[in-house]
Amino acid sequence: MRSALPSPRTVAALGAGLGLVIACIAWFIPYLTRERDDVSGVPVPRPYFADERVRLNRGSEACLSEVAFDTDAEIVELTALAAGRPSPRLAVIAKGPGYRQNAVIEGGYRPRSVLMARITPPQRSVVGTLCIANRGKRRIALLGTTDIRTVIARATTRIDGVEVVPDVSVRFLSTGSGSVLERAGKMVDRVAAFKPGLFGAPVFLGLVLLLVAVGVPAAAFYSMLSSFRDSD
Amino acid sequence: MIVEALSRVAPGAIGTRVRGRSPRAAITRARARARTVPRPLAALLAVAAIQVVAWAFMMPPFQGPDELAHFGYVQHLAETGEAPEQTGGSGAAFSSEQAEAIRWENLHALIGVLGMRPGWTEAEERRWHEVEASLPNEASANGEGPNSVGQNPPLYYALETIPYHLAPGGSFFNRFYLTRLGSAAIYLAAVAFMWLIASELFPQLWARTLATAIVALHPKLAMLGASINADILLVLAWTAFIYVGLRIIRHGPSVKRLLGAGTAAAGSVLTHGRGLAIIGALLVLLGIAYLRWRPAPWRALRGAALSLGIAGLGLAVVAVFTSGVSGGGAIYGGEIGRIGEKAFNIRELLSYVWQFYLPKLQFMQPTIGLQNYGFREVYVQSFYGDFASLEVEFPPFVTDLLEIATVLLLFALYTVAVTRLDAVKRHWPTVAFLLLTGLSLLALLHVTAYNSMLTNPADPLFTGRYLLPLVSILAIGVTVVVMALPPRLGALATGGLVATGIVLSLSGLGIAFVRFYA
Repeated sequence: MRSALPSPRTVAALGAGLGLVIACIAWFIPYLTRERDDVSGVPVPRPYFADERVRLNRGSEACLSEVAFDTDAEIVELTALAAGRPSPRLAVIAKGPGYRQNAVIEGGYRPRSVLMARITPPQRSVVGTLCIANRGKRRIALLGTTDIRTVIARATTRIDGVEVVPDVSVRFLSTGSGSVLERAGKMVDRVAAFKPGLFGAPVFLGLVLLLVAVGVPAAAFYSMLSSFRDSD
Repeated sequence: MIVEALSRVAPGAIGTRVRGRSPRAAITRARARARTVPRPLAALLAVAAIQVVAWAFMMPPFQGPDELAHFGYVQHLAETGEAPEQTGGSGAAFSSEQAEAIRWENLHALIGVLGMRPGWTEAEERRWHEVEASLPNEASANGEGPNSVGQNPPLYYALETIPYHLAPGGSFFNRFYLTRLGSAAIYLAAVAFMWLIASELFPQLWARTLATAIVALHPKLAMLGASINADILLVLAWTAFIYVGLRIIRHGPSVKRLLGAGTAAAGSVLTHGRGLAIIGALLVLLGIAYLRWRPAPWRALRGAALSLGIAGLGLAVVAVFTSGVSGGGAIYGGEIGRIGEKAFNIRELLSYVWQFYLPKLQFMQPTIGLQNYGFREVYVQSFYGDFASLEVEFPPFVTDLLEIATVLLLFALYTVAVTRLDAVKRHWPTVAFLLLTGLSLLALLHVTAYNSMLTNPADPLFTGRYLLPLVSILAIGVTVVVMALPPRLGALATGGLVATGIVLSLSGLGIAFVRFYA
């Protein structure tokens, strides 16, 4: 006589399936569909330990060298730590081989505010220089870093041609925010950078991601179910 | 035995298979052999392989724990035949080729800094290719040190020189990723050994599968397997040692098994200073084997000499190797057993160990080192999570749930032990071996951490990945608890555990993917 109760194999499948469904609904889907900033590049990150001030007198210009501008770098983001009143107007100049963009951040912002300047990204990515010039009448202190964890980024900061110790913290954003799912293709292209041959082929990396998303659960499920089947 | 355990066909059937000599026959034989691998094991190896390959390519270079220094060691050994120096050298912690690669992919400031992103533009890649083409040959070989892992013995790094040299085309990043895949192979071997352990202990196929799935779906272990880091070889050495140890205890101390135990122990001490704890576990194993099997005195002496001799040989190689390393000529460059300026105090050590696991008692002084660093941070948070250079974390609610599950597991194990005391007594050699092997590593980790904190109280020198050599014992513990449940409840728990493993693995990879590339 057959038992009315489901077999251990069925129970295990139900347990695992239920667990995965709960995880998908409660965690995976919200995580993957949440809108996020689309970071296009970070020449110098924010400090890890303590904020440092990069002081720019009126008429002075801070330039970061060896900055990469990607084809989706549409916003330059800086942080003003302090500024005299009225806070000064800033000019932002992005330049590289065959590429030059000027943007303005109007004065009147408050201390500790995030400043954003819109630029048109290059047609093809370039490595160049990003300058921030104080066009106002007062001094400004931009957020910078000297700590060992973050100051080692490639870009170096010069004020009026003289190298200074704190590097200006700056990042580039793309205007399109969007979720991870919407940007998955772009992110795979980013993973492919600096990888030689097959390892850098987006098709290969996309396949690896697909295998992670589908192959890992499927193979783990299969192993469990086949072990119960062989035990039955 | 290994073939038998890895096979779902009776050993006799394997033995009687026709042995052809032509390539076609060899291929046929290999395919037939592959078909004998149990389906659950094959699927779990596929799970582990997909994960480790994904980690190897999704995590940017040098973002694994201390990967800058470990790769620097591999490269210097591969290029010059010599290990880099721990504190001396030419002042170059790694080669100028590695330094340029780091510079152009903007990888140094990326380590541990969540707001940073790696370089990913075509322009940076073009500049790197120009720089790489202009580098002289010696640019690969001038990372003489100081290298922060220069005190490590050379076994892992020597093994990694094989994939390093196998990389086609000579590109730096080809060599780097092939070296990561070398670690991945070691990780897969550890998963296979977990199956052997489970086959030794559990007759039911589902229980073997569950135990192996716990290891194959351990997210931190997969990340470690994709990193260039000697710790992954330590995991393999300990997992292999536990397997051979169980064979000795359950089937008797044959010469082959004693050689195996000695070799695994030598592998451990030749990999890292933390591997020294295996000597204690080996002594425990020999003691338990003697009590269990009561061999004739000369046989016992011969067995002990075999195992301890090989392990001792490993130690001698380490001593010779590290005699040239700074650290006052101390073994492992003084990293293990380092004594700080403050005197070693047994009461302070015991108080630290107590407060690591349990709340401070009224009469106790505050613990040495960080006040809020203990069981949760090491056994839960950084054991399952804290990926890359510890900055890629699971959300706090995941750590909370894992902590509750870990505590429940301990209570469940205690309950199983009490309710099945007869079985525990019957299997005391196995239980004692597993417990004392675990304690051997934990004791060394705590004493080393305490010693280190005498000098630098801000660095606890104890993180979750140091416990990964004992991951097989965790898997055994979980499986024993599930097996004690009524069959259908056990099946439900198995399903839940496999689902949890899948969720943790996918989450770890997903969070890292977003952290680095969104």
